[in-house]
Amino acid sequence: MGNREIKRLDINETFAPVAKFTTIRCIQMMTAASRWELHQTDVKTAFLNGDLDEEV
Amino acid sequence: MEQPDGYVDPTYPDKVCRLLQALYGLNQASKMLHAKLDDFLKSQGFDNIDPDACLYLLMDDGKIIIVLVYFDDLLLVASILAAIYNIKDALHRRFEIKDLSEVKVILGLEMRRDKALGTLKLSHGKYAGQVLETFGMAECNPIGTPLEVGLQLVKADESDDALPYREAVGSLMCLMVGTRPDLAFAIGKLSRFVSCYGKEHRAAIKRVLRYVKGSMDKGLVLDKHSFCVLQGFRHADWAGDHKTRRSTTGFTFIFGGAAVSWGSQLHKTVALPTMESEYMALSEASKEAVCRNKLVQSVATQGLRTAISGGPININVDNSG
Repeated sequence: MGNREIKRLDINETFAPVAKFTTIRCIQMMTAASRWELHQTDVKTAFLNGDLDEEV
Repeated sequence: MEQPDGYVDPTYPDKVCRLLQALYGLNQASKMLHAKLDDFLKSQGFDNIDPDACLYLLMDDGKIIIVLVYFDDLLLVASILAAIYNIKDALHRRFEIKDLSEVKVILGLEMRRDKALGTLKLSHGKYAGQVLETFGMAECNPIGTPLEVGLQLVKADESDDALPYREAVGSLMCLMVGTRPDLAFAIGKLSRFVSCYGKEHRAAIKRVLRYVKGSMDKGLVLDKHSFCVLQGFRHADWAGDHKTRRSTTGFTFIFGGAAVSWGSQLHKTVALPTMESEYMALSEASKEAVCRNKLVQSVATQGLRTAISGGPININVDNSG
């Protein structure tokens, strides 16, 4: 139903903030050099986490 | 806002539901999660470090804690293990999270760490194998270099879609961006022809695949005995592209014995003397250096007993021209 799209409301670009690969590598190198600990976690059901403050 | 055609509620034709929470498929959903994570991390005392919106740093009582956000993946780094457990507990209270413990694979990058030797290796071996499999090159003969020396390619008149040239460039680019600076020039060159490739372009990409076959287990290795200071190297050829006479720059930044940032770029304008092309390369290198240095400085200036040293970055440029 592209013809019914309303600007700003429907055609917002999807935006997912991610870290740069270079930054990730820098951090990993620092970790190894300084013998720090490096762990990983994953947020479950990530998309359901935001609270909307605008009408959709 | 109206109810969708054909699904109008006969009792309340004018009413719609108001969504209070983000849902899958909603444009805003990913941004909302980031905003929430950002709030949470700042409430825990983390500071956002300038060049990267997804990097958070906390200095606490001689401890250092770094959180790196890759959308819903969080990378937690700390100088002591207890600090990692603390931040995990806090995250657990606020979000539903899955704990993957020590990092083995992150975003397709395989990470092998030998704590006794103090080495860390990042590689893409499994993915490289899959790429070769996809393009029917799993059994090919390996070759020592990714491209022929001085290879000149021109646009083909019409592209032959029979062979997956674009797919091959894309897959190899993924390897290059992750762990393979040695592919940067070849991929940079071949990716200029994704809309106009011919026989010689396909032969060139096959050669890159054969090169990958012979170097699948190669990756970035950090050795704790290397000097942990950021160093830049930059070089430009002069009018390397015979058609446009523009120069190509290659650069890499080394940190702790391993490359952390690299690339190969065709210059935007033509340089007349060789010196000019080197200056253009240097100016680009300085921009990258400023950005990288902020991160290293902000960790190094905390006076922690780490192997990381801050200070000015040396950028090495060949200026014999």
